[in-house]
Amino acid sequence: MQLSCTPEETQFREEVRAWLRANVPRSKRPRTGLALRDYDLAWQRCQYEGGWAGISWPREYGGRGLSLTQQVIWYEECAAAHAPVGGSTFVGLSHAGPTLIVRGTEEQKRFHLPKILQGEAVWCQGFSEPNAGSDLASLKTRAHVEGEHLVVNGSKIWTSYAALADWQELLVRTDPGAQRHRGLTWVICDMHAPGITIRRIPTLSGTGNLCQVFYDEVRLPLANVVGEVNGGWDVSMTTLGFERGTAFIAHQIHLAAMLEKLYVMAHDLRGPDGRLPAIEDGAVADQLLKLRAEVAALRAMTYLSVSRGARQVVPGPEGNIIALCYAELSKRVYAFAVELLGNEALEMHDENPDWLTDYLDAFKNTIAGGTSEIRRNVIGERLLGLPRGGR
Amino acid sequence: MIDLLPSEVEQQIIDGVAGFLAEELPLARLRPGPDGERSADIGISAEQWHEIAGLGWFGLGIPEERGGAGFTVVAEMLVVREVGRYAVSPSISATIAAACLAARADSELLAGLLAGERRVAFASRLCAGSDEYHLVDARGADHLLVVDGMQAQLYGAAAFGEVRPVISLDDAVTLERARLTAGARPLLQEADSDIGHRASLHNSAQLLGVAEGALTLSVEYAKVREQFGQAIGSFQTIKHRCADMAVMAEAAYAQAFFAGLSQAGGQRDAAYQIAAAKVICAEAALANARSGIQIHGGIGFTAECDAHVFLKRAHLLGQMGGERRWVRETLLSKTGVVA
Amino acid sequence: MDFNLTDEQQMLRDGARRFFREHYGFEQRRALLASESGFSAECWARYAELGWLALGQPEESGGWACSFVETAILLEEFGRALALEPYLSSAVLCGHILGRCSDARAGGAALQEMMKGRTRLALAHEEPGDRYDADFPGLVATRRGDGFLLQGTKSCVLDAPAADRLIVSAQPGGENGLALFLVDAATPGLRMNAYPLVDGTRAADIVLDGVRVPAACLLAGGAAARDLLHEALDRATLARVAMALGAMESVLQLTADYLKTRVQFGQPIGRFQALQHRLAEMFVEVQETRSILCCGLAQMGGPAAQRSAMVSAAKVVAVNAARIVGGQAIQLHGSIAMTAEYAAGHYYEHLLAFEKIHGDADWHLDRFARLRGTHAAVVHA
Repeated sequence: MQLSCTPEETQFREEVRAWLRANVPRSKRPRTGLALRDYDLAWQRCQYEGGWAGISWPREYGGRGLSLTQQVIWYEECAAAHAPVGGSTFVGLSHAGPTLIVRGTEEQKRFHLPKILQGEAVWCQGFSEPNAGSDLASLKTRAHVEGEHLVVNGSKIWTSYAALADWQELLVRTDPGAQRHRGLTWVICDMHAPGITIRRIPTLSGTGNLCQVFYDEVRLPLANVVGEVNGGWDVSMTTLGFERGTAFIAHQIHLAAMLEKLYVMAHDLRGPDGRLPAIEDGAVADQLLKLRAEVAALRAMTYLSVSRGARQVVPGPEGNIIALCYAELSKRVYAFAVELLGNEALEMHDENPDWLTDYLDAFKNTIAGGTSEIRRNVIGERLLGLPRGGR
Repeated sequence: MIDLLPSEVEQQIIDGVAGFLAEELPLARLRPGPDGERSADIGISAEQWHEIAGLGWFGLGIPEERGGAGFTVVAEMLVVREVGRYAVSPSISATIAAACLAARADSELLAGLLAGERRVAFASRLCAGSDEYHLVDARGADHLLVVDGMQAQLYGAAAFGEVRPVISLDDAVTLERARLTAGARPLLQEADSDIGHRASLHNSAQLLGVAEGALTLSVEYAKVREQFGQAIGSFQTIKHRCADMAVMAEAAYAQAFFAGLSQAGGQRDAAYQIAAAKVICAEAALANARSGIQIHGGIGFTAECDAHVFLKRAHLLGQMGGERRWVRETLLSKTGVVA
Repeated sequence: MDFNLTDEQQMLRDGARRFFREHYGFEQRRALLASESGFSAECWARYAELGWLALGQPEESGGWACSFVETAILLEEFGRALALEPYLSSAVLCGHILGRCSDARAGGAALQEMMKGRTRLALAHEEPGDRYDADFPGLVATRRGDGFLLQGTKSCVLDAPAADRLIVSAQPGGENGLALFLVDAATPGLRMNAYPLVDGTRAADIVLDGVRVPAACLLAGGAAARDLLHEALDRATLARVAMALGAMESVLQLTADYLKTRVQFGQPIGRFQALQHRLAEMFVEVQETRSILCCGLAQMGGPAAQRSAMVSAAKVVAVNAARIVGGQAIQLHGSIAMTAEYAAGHYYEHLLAFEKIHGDADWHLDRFARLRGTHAAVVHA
């Protein structure tokens, strides 16, 4: 085991810190709409021009090809500099792009990867359907081959940023006779193709980036299929592996930064007795110190998953542990914020940051990308070897 | 370079210690015999103590030129993690910490400690300002290690008087009450908190072992115990409980060793990480021990099942640390870290 | 104590449930949320017709004489339907104050108007920077001519935008006390800055800048005013617990139905043990809340210290239950609960607002400890 900093890593951190200080956007990120897309793409373009795009992508595809350690340093410095995290460029950078790198054809890579890196394209994910959430393999959106095209009919739901996206990683059923995960195809969908209708879904927090997408005889070139026709499940496992693996490092580190803001707030705001600062209240102090310990542990777990990542290319089931931890802890951190704010937490604010919006949004963390219940199933079965089935 | 997984050499250390304990001091030794009573010799015998010394456990973190193996506190943690897992005497941790103290103080006591000729046990103060202590597993101990407010002091056994045995919640160790004689001087005392930090890390590592032990026990049981025609581990609530235990254990592992590496590397935030490790590991041990009893159902309530051992050890270790105020102050101080 | 409802109470409950079932469907409610006022004036008129606005008021004033139990029964149905009308502010909170001050000329008239549905009221007592302590308002009332001049600010006045009259707590100039005034919302010098709360209901920050109020509008002063305010707030707090209980029961039922119908992995997800147990936990929380509500109701007519302590206990238990029930409802529904087009999220937001209104769990725990002498015990030790 080791925890050391080579001179190269120290120098790298200083470089990153200096660049971020000079280039992190000063304006607040819009919560929704085209303004959000423009903001995210501009930040991506800025990173590209500064030579920082695709920090984990291989160099031959325009990325920086940085080591896992360097990626962690990059995310840590981003958090310290309050750089925007997640957003509409997340899918493209974190799993659509990496899926293409591993499974795409040369043409697909040459066309799409530069656009993602240079901040010219937004991606979304078309996997879940109204009747296929946790049970993704039961999806029904159909596609049949017609000449050189796939013709798609059906609908997808819970697609974040669909209304802002240019491309979609779309999972469809191409063999209606095949059961469950057989007969599926992973295809790149042009979000501007005729026959696509997008409906925004208003959410709990009002930020409204969730969408439902309808496909009515949408024609996609067969050349857009990634992997084999009917071999899509395999490809989607790659995608989900990235989604559940190192993609969330930035979010984990961002959570630590949020908790430190709450630490300051606990000293500034008045506590439950209305007189002393909140930190003087024993219960507030207890909660804060526990959260700080848990957030520290989450960071250590990030390093542990980086250690594993260095020894194996494909993320294993352990990734579910840290994903579960992050999801549950993030809800507790934001719940603490809402408690700290007292009656101020009744009002929502349009702008970022707003603790109340973040708090409501955090509810999706234990749902999206794999519910906590599913994650516990995977941990129990694949990591601990407990038997499947039963009730 | 960040690596929280054991290297090959470290894995050998783990395997060596685990192998020895599984053979010599398995958990089964704590189970009641056919007469319903526990055997008398559940502790570490004199021969076993010498063997342990011979295997080099006490000197793992001591520099080579002093007779040690030249590793860091991380290697010590790997050893005492197994000590926790097998509910073996915390005196191993006390002796390792005392050896480090002796090495730093350039004391003649070091040789005897490394050779297994002198045995150290923990003396845990009852509360701040008191002169009463709990002596943990101290029968036959030559010295007693006190860690008070994160500072370590080594006393000769004679410094403690009015020794009277009490019934221990964790009856895998003996527990006595004693009074530190007024005016008694420590044989060795540290000026800073290095040994204090080390002792806290050992404590967290043992708690980690307890958390992991409880998890393993429960998972194994869930795989074989059948009810309603199937292994109980196939029922979601059991499965999810086990998953939650795995999460606790993983968080405890990561934070404990991250803290250990920070201490070994002299990182600025080492104290903060050590405090966080104590919170996380104590909670993991307690939660997993409790869950473990629940998963075992009726048998978990009995002394014939090992589950209770973990619960009691979790309580003992949780109380023994004695750094509660330090942990609280450290975690509430301004030096919360992001990068 | 008899926990069974009388025939009249059952009729009230069944009638209210039927009314909301017919007039307060999910889509209708969403339309109201989006409307400018945020509630239904037609429903308000119906409440007047049904006599609900007169609940708990003395018969001599034209009220519907009954105990607070009836109010709790009605509020539970409000909560079940997540009704948006400012019933609590007008009929419970301000209604109680007016009912006790009906000898003050302005108070009596206002009470009559309110019960007939012709006027709505809101209580303005919290001020910026307060943390629920309403005993020492900063807003000042100075004598001017044969009336008063009010100067100061009030924050987060619930249902103020719907109100044409306000009951304002003020510090009588010079004295360190508390007085309650009835103020017309259209009075010159009164400015409202309205906004929606997290659950879509409306509130406002109010500035009173040299607002003149005739002497007849002084409803109460001195110790009597303070006691009355506490009593009214306790009633409103417990009424909100009842409303939260109705909301929790409703979302529990919604969740149970969802678990039976939602199919994944070839079976209704309600067959999965983890979810069944979660639902069972929610059910237990709801039962606990009902129990503590009964305790609170039993103390409503009793000595102030006991009443306040029990109300605080009820609030704390209810907040804890609301977090579990509301939070698990979202988790068990999955993504669909994140949308505003499905009811679960709305229940959650209501319960979130409930937490914070009239004192959060921490404040009530503190008050409970003080009233029960726990704090004093610590000091002595």
